[in-house]
Amino acid sequence: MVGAAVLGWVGTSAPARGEAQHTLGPSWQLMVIDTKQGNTSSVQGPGVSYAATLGGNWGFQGTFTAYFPLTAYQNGKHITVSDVYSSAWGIDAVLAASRRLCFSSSLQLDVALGPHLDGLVMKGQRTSTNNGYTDFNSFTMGVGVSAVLRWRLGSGPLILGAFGSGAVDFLDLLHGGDLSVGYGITAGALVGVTLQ
Amino acid sequence: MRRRTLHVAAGLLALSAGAACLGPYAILGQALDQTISLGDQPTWIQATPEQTTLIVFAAADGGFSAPFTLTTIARDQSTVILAGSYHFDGNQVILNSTLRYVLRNQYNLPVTQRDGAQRFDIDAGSTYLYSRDGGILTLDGSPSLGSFAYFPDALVGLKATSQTEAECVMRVFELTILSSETRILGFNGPAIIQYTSPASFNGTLAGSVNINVESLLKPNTTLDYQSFVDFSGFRVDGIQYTITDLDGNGNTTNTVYFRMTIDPADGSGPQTLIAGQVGYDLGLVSGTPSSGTYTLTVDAGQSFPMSYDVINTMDVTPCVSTPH
Repeated sequence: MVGAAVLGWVGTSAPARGEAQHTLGPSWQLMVIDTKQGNTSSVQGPGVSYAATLGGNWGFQGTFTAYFPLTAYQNGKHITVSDVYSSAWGIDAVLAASRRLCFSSSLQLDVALGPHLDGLVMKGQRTSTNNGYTDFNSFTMGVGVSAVLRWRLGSGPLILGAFGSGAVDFLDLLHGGDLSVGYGITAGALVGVTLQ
Repeated sequence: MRRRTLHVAAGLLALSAGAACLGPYAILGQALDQTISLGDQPTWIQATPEQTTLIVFAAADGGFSAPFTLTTIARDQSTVILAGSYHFDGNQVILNSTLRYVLRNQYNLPVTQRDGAQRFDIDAGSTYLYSRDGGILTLDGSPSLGSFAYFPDALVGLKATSQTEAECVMRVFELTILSSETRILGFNGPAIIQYTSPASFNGTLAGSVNINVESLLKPNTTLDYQSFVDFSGFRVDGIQYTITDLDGNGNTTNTVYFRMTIDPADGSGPQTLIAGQVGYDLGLVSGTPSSGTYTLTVDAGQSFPMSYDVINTMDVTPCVSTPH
């Protein structure tokens, strides 16, 4: 509802059809966490994203990304994730009210605003002598925006697209007292289908 | 691998569902253990009713500087360890601390809200006027650290022939246990679940302690001490096993052995000052010892059961002779 209200001002140049559009593609995820202890941590890496938009001019849009951090920084110090963590993965989602903007019969943009969730699990490596590194985990929640640009190929159901999302998180269910603010950014390319 | 990943996900979900918390964020790329055992090095101790302070100065072996640790254990068990290197400048000693370990007493909080043991990188220098007079080391400065006794000398009167003496021996034993726990990152807090992958931490002087948590949903914890020495001559071996649910309710069992060895100046070889074992039979509520007993047994001597709260007041002055 909040998302719908905020997006209400956005105009549209052509009427949109009620339909479900499902797209999947490669993406890149960046997650930044500022802690009350004064540390700024960021992790980034490739992912796979699924974006679904339901409805017409107004509707629902969900973007889901599974990502695999490759590099991390903390207070400027660089860390190669595979050197330190035996497994590292995350899930990022924006579940939002959406507004569809149709620029032509084959080009549309769905913009959405709603709750954001991000879970990150990085399991510290152990050496043969049982030494190693600490785990790093987070499970942040906040508000996110997502935008999915879709281009329909001809008159068929096939779609090519691109998307981006950004989020600001205020709550961490695993480290509640220590999160100052978190930021999530995802960008990617998509291919998918339209289901009438 | 997939099964392990599912366990991790299920565990984190369970923690989240219970509005649980893993304490502060970890440091990215933080090594678990940065202690390199120093071998047989002298330890100095200062005990007051309010706190016990122990310093290990490693020999410089001809180099400019050498490692040190400065461990302060407060009456309420809160422990801070500074580690780094020291060097002499005339009659002054300069301590350059690079690591600070902290394990605060947070038994008043639910286990899910505790910080657990933490380690911070620091860059702190302190200068003291250094003097040695027989078995007394004095570090004057601002603030002054005061005078310390050579650890084996201070413990020379350690014995357990009465309940009161045994309880003091128990607190002396606990100095090493608290010191070891303070270096196990996340210990006594929810971040301990990272040890579903076992980890090992070196003793300051020798040996190691291994920690192993059974699973995220079954956080039964094994602490396995193997010839572990943080302070000159005081060695602990054995296993402390804790069975708890996710809220920290359960019990601690098993036995840890200790042996205090001194090396007399007459060259007669190492002698055991006191040796024995501590049996654990504790009940835990929310991660806090709340019932049960410790049983301290001295080799070829009596057994002394003592209440679970015997170490809640970490005052070793009745059995440790040190200047203040």
